[in-house]
Amino acid sequence: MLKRGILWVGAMAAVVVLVAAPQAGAAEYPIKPIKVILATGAGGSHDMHCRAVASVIHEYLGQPFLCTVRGGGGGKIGMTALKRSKPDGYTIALGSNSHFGIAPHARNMGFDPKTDFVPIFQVNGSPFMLVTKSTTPWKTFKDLIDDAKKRPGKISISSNGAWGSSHLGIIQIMRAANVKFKHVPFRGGGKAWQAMYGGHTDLGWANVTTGGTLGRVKSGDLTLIATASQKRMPEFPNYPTFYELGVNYEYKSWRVFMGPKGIPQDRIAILQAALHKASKSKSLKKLIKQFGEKLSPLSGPKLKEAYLGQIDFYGKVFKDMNFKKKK
Amino acid sequence: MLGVVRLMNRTNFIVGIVFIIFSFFYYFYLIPTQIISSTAESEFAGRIFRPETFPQITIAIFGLVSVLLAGNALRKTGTPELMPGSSRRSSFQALFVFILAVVYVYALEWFGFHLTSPIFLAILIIFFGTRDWRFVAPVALLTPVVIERLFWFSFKVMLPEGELFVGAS
Amino acid sequence: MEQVFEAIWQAITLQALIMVSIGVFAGITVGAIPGLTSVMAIAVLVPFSFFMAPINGIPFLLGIHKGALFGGSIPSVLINTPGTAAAAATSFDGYPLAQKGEAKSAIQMALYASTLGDTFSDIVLIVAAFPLAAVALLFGPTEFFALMVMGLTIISAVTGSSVLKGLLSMLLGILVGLIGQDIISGAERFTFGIGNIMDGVGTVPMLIGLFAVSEVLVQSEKKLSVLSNPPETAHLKGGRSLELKELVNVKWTIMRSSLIGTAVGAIPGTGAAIATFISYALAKRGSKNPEEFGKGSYEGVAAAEASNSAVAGADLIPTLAFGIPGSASAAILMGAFMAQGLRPGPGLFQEHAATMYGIFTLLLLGNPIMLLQGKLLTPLFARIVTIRQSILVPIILLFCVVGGFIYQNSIEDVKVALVFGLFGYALRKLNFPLAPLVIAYILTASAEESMKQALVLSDGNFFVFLTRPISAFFIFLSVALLGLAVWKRPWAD
Repeated sequence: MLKRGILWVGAMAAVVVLVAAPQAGAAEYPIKPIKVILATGAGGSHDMHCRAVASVIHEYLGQPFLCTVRGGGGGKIGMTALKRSKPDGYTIALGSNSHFGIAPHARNMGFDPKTDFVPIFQVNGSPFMLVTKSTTPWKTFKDLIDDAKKRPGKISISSNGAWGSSHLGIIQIMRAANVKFKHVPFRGGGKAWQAMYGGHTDLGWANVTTGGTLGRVKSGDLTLIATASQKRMPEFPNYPTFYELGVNYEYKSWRVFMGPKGIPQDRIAILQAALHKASKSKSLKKLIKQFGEKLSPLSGPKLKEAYLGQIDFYGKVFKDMNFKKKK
Repeated sequence: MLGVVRLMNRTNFIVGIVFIIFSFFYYFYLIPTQIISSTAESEFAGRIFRPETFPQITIAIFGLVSVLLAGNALRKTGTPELMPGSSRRSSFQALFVFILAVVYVYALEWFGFHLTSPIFLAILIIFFGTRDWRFVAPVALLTPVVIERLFWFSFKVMLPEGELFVGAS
Repeated sequence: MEQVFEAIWQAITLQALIMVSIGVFAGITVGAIPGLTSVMAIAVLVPFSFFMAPINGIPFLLGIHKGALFGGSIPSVLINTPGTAAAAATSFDGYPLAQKGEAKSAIQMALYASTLGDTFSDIVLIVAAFPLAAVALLFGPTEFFALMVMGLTIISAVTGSSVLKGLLSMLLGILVGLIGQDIISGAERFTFGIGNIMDGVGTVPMLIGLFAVSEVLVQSEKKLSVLSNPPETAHLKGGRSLELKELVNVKWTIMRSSLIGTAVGAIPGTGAAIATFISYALAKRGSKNPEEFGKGSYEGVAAAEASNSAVAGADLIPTLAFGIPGSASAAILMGAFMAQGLRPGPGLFQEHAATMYGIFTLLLLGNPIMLLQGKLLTPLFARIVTIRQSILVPIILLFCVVGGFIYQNSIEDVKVALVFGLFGYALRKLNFPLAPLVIAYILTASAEESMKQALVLSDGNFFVFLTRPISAFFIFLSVALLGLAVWKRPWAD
């Protein structure tokens, strides 16, 4: 009997709780938490950046960010979820340009990045670098290419998957320098880097945080061949970009808050303002610095231009390869 | 409690045949249609690197073993293999539960978690024989709420709100 | 040296101990609910650690990691559903034990084995992280493939009575494992255009479906009178307590499994699952009562749990030594370390000696804390089996649905779980063992990729698997194990 009595009290309480659920008032946006979709999956730099921002944004926005992992399908699941979400400003994503910039050219992702999404705020971006262990004989790009010409198809480079960001880089190098490398695809950048560092493949790709690459290049453990950035990286002023070497390629692990098209402009403005303020916060700056990166806040027309520019850039890369997208 | 000891051979034989048919279906239909390559040729030369190879090898072995299974079942007579007995009633019960689960999952998308779960729980509990509503009702109402609050507080997880209700604000 | 002792002493504050305890408790809870993974939990809670002192924040997260690997054994035992893929092998023997009314002692064995395994790997981490990590780097695609092959040989240990059916089950598992994107060619295989399975079916929804949902369906067949009354074993109140001598009996198993778990866990890219499978297979080979395995052997539970918890500490080895995460949870933990300025790499233990030794101390203390919490919670959990099925089964089904949804915040995964539930139900009715399917599924993707990567690197030379020493070692070991299996068992089925 007692058990039943307790159950009844519990049930009554439950009904009360349900009824007393948060009221949707007519107050200002935002009145409830903002869901931030992470199409990249758990762990990893996007996840960390999202949570870092989320840990301070409450002060500036009045509501928290909920970093929600929706990985899988090379970004397809998360990004299509973004596309289908209500454009009310309560669902956004922390996007990665491998998802919206590269993948849509490689296969049918179920969205068109130019028309389905709007970029809201850039957090930062870290460029890829081509690295190799210092025990290998190549110290510069020229060394590498000369050797590759002598031994076509013998030098191996790991990538983070077929038609992914690093594979494209490999293809561009091969076309520009007219050489052939042995491309070894791995499931993800971490595994690819690991294979390089363990000496199983000759070269690999990394950004500054992968495997502590920043420290390793500086200490001489790894040799940096070239950076896939538009201008020379401030951390590595003495190392050339691919553009300088005649290879038409750049890629950065870009972290951009984006939303589905149709979000009212005033809500976007509120988000942008809060994010700009947050990026000035000491605690956030410190966190990002610990990750080995810096904040580069950007929004508005310049961001939109960069966004569209990236999509077009990779579109051209695929076109030049005569890539036939199936489906 | 143990089911009736039945001769499994006939069942094994049928299963073997079904699997053999499946193997052909897989090899000749599924593999060609469901393996979608982005480019016409792969950059890796060699049969082993093609995406179809592993599936083909696997299903070939699968077909072979299925033949063995069916063949074995034909050969042996009378060796009993314990098989849980089933009756129309028991299969019906299981099927009902499954269908209810499917309905529930689709209902979740439209009506949301809070509305559908108590109904789902109540139907099941009653179906399984505990009819005392004074017991059933509180459990059916309480459990979903406890689950939801727990998951919200700890992990800020949002359970389906239901398309119908995503209207306000 | 003095500084080290000083640091250790400083670390043991009440606040730190409380944070570890909360972490362990959260971990156990998360592990115990199928669908919730420690990855999720750590990811959600990591921001809290950003602003705590490292000595409190990091052990908190580490506690979650620890607790989850024990917690996963609870649903394995109680409802035949692994709480995490790592606990898959625990269900092989844990569930039969629960059905005999020995749920409590089974969970306790899991608890003790987990604690011992984790303590072992924590000690190894503290003492030998860097040398071990260097060895771990020697594992390239060739070696990974050989390791996967060895993982597959365990299937011979769990086929049950019919070898043919076991084989078919394994092949089905491979077919399921092939669903998704082929990373080598970029081709999509068998995804039917469904976004959710583009990366593969999803281990969690599949496990929930194959084990829990199918179990629900099997239970649904029972007579209503059986379901609506308390179960026959209810009077046991969940079972008896484990006796010390039973634990002593399995000491070598635990030792061996801890070693294997630590070794395999230290290799980045191998999951806890494969460590568990290898430990289980070897435990069965070396056991005096191998026929008990799969029917309710405490040794089996000990082997599985000691090794999956050993992975908890070992995961951190490559993570801290090189910054190469050993697993998804380790990846997030690494983020937490970095947010505190603790950059992985050779300098870590020297530059931040005080903090690191403090963290290690708390890491070790987490084990007795987990033991204590486990001892208190186990009787509670074990009593779940005394609830009548008519209430329990619907609630389990509810958890399946919720768990499947939470995995990736997607209702499609629940549909996947249901499909696998039906599939698992059919397999069980037809007397097909589920274990080979699960093992093959978990190992297939890695095995295929590694093999192809190895062949690309060797320019198509198949012999590379035998010419490289580490790889050759594992291949020979696998052949030996398989040979033993074939020789020992009579071929009639």
